[in-house]
Amino acid sequence: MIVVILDNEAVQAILQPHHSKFRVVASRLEAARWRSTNHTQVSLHVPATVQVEAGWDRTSKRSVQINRYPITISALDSPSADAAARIVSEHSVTPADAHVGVLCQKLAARNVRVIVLTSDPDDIELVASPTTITALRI
Amino acid sequence: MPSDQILEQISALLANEDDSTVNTSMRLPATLREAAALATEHLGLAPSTTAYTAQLLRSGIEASLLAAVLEAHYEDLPSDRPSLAEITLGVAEIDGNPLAHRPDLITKAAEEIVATHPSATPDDVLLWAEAQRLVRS
Repeated sequence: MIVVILDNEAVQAILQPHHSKFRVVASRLEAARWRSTNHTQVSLHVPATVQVEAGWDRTSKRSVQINRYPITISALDSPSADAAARIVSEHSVTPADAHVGVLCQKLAARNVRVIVLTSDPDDIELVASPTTITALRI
Repeated sequence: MPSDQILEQISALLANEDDSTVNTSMRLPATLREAAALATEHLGLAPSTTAYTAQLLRSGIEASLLAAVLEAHYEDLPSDRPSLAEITLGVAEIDGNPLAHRPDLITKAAEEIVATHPSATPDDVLLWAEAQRLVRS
């Protein structure tokens, strides 16, 4: 199974009509579909803090398009918040990036293949460390 | 294509965190059911056959919904549809294939292969690009 995590800019690309990066996000989603088992084992995740950072309000009219995507919002529970706080302290990254890192680590521990669509692969590889993930630049 | 309303309804149902369950009268081949019970118990696929079935059903629906939502977007905005070369580049990146650093080769290979094989896949393009790279090296 492949889980694709979207960072702030990847969410923006879907949220905003005619976003210049939609096509590159779509190509990576299609690539993940192609590499998943029989094209049937790919899930999209957005950490809740990324949802906030991207300004994605599910109840807003402007969210009609993105609300159709099968995106799981990953909540920030107490242990994850502690882990994210440690990542923020250690690497001076945003809370949203730290939450992406925690989610990467949790999923990888369940032997899930993790792909992150991001505008900053270096930061994502840093926050996911020591977990091996695939960070694709959009 | 299913209507936008249907896509929204499926997505909303998947996102709903209501944990209530319902009994179904789903009929399965007896041997498949037995294999699933043994596999969940001994191969660690999931805590139970029911959990495994629900997990597969969800991921299958999510993947189909993603495909349908993307297709609906492309129908509205055809210029947003990624090319075979762009998808192949993404596959190469996911695979850690060195060709991910040669988008020029991938683009050329995609153009060449679709000329004779319009339904070529990203793997066909990667194979052709690799063959071309070896010939030229």
